[in-house]
Amino acid sequence: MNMETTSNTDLDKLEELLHNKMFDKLSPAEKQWVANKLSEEEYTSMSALYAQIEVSKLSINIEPKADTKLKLNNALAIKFSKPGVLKLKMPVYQSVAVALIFFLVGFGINMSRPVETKIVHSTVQVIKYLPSPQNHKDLAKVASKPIKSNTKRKKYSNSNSVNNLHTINNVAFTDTNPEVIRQQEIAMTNINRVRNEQNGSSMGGDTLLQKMLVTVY
Amino acid sequence: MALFKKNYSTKSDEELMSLLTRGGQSAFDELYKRYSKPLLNFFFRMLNNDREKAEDLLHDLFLKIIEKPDSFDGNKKFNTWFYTLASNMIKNEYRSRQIRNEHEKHTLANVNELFELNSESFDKNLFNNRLESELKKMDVEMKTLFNLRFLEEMSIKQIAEIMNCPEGTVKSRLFYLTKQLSKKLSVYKPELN
Repeated sequence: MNMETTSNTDLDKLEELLHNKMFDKLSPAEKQWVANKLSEEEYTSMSALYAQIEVSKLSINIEPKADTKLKLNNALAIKFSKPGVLKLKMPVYQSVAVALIFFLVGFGINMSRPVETKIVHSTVQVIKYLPSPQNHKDLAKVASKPIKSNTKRKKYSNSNSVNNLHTINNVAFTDTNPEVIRQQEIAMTNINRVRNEQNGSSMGGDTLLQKMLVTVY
Repeated sequence: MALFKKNYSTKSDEELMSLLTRGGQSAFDELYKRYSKPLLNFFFRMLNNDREKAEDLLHDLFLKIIEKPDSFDGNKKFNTWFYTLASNMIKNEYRSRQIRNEHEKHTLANVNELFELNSESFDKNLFNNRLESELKKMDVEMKTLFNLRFLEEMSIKQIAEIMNCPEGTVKSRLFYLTKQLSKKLSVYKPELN
């Protein structure tokens, strides 16, 4: 038979016949088909070979040695060995039980403890103005317009020969004058506000700005 | 605990391999149970009844899946992949030890043993020994083909994957092999003629 011209389908069919039928059991059509591929002698010997192989394959049937399996088990144990406590095997139900106990104990502790409530009062700053003493006059000159530069500073005068008297634009300027106190407070508030700026520039290192604010007020 | 115990016998080879990658001893046991005997017999036949060598190769083959379980491609059938490894080991063994020469010595020993057998088993043993002898003379590829098809009873498709050739080639080689063997063995079995 020419192997080059035999299709895969033909080979499948031929193998099936060789496996299952001796030549004399073939139908006339099958005999005719087989005759185009093989001679009767070839078919018979090939068919007998298939039958003999079926018998002979049962003749070899050996079992693996137990030693081989032991060696492999050791290799597996070494390959997947875990260090220290991880070697200890814990069944799933034990792990679940421990987790449940921890949860319940923790939940119980949490429920038995009273919750402390903390009242936070907001503080309100109250500014009280004291009445000014009437026994002496403190005059101070207040500039009608903001002074633009350090060179045009407040002018102090002692012409009335009164102690601690500073006059700027004929306004009393003493430490006890409510107007001065208020101005100082506003100045300090502004200074603190600028110092406490979080996202902007701070006055902390800006001495020029500090001087300017103090000078203005 | 029976409630959480897995039934490995119902799992597929591929599932067992997946479990083995995480160090599953039970998965390994099941794979060994399924494949150790067929593969030992495959090695035994391919190595001309060299039991010790067959055991060694069986050990090395299973060691491969322990050492590198990730080398298994999940898209393939485990059975095909495993026999491909086994076939490659056989080829390497043939190359390294020039096993054919050793087989010739073995054949002589087998023939001597043969004449000590009783007459009832004579024909069967004569045929088996002659078949073995003819297989030994063959190329390792043809011998593997014969074993996979007739003794391991694998499909043409599986053999094609293992031997890395088209299915048509496997079929035509098998046909050619059977024809050649039947010619040579017919003299040892009168009813074959």
